[in-house]
Amino acid sequence: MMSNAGSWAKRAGVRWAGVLGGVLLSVLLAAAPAGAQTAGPIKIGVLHDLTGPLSVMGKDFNEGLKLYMSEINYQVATRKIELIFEDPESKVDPGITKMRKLVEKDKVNLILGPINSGLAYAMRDYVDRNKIPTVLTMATATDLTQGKSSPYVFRTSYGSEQLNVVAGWYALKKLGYKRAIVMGLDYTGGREQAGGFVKGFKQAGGTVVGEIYAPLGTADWAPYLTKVKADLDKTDFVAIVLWGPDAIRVIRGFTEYGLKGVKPVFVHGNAVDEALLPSEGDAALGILSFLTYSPTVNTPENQRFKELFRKQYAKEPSSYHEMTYLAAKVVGEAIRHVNGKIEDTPRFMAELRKIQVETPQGSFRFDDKQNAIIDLHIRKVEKMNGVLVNTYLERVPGIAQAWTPPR
Amino acid sequence: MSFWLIQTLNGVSFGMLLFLLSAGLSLIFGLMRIINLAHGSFYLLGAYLGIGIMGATGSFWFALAFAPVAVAGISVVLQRLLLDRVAGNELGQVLMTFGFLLIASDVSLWIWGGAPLMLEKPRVFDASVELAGAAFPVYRLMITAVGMAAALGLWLLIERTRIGAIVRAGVDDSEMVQGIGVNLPLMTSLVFALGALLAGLSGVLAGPILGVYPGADFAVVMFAFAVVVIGGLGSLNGAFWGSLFVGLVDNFGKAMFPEFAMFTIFVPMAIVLAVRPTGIFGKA
Repeated sequence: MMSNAGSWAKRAGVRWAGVLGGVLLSVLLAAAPAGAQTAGPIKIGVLHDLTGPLSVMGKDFNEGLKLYMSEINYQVATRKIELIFEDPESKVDPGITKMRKLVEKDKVNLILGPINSGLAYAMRDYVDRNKIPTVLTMATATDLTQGKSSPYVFRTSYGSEQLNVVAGWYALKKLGYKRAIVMGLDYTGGREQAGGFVKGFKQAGGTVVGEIYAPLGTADWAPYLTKVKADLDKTDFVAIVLWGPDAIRVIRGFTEYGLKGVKPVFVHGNAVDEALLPSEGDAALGILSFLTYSPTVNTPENQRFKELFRKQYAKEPSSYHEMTYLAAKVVGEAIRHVNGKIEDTPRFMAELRKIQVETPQGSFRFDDKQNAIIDLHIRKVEKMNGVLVNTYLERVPGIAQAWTPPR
Repeated sequence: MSFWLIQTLNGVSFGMLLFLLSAGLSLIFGLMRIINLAHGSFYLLGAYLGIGIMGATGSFWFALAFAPVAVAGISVVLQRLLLDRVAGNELGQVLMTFGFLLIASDVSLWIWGGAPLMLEKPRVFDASVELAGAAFPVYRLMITAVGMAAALGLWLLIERTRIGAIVRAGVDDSEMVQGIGVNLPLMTSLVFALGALLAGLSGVLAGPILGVYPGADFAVVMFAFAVVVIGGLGSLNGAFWGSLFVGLVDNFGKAMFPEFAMFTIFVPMAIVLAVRPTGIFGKA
């Protein structure tokens, strides 16, 4: 009997050893894939519109991102970077759907975009709740870096008021205009930016004699242009805060309806961006505009950027390309500072907050609300070697969203 | 004074564009008793094909001549291949046209991409004329002229030719017309193709001022429906006066109440639907 009990105990012991071993093995196997997952690619979701009125920007934005990514070989430290592109179709609802898809299905580590301020406002609570670092490459929604700010939301472009308030101030103090007619787009981003210009111009002492807002993607601008024409004698200039196909229709419409040359115009840089100049042609010649960048600004980083761009795409870059090249560089450098460990969100965002990089438009950094600090560039549309381009005239440097005019 | 004159001309030129678009829609309903939702696609394809032909040949006039014909050809395919299969089933036919609208929209997105495109108009139309001290683009005058010519041509066709008489008879009583031996299917194909041709023409003409983009088909189908609801389905007169009305109301609405730009044509449409559902010149 003793040998039976002994051999039973031995068999039981073997069985237990087997069970223990099996448990240990499963634990190790379960742990190993987790280890393999942190070595997988960094996934960045991109929400830039490729359909609708905002698609002109979306297409160039994606090219700018890809330029930087190819420059670093889609890799930081030892980790590969994967860009996942989705199209909000210039609307809010599809944008929200695709944002959810990027976060819940693709499990992205970071979101770049969107362009549409309305969509950005709608996204804010979701990315804040789900702790997804989101870098606004364009959406100028003012409140997202003020009242509705979140530690997860950064902006590399500019706030609606930030750019336009200074431009309004410049129109009065530097260009000497006292009365303005302002044309803008009737949606969140359009209203905020045109409103910012009105605010800056009025604060500097100017009078706004007319404000004209038309829906984004208005097919026929004829009625609005005719209205502006009728009121031209009441103003010193017309501020055109437009972008996309609407900008093309209005710039061309100015010539068709006999407005060009009657009073000067001062336009948002997006209205005469290099992406639109070919469609606008000579109707755009001589137009003064304001933006955060000029293609002809003479810095080593800008020259390097343009050379790189020409080699990859065999054409000249637009300001849209520069904006996302900058955004990608800011994100790429922050990832490098954490050695590729973007999953360590608090550390990654700490690095992002204090990032300082050289970009084609100048030295970049965020303010304390995670919004970009920009220079206001003043440019003029001129013909160089038969091609229309915005040439750099001068700038107002170091503008944060809390900017106040100098005494 | 010049403000009102230019705004009126704006409204009239836009109205003429709408007439080209909706004349076909109105006649197709009158004859075939179907609401052709694919009409928006005819506009879209006309504009895109116009851009394509201009890209290939460099000539706006080629685009103007051939894109509408190509669209008419596509409409014949739509009719023979799809609509005839559900002949007699009116709901089925409407759904078919809606399906075509959706498919054409997606195929266009696939071929021409998502960015809004504008057609280049010929240099000769870059000029503007001086009218009462204000400028008005020559191109829009040309559109007005084309629209008026088309209206006149269609009126002559419908009122003064034998074919037109057959069309009118078909609108009034299609069974009787078939009973006296007229080849009604051929008739309806011709009317359908003519309607598509005009819609395609409006697409090319609108290219340099409105441009074309994904969703333009849905946008113009709304305008076309506003026109036929107000003017009355099945009536050429209705399409003409309805278009002028919608063009002028939309234009003045935008100029005087820009905050309501989205609603300017739908308010009159709602009023007409409430007061006279068959439209001003409509035949129920």
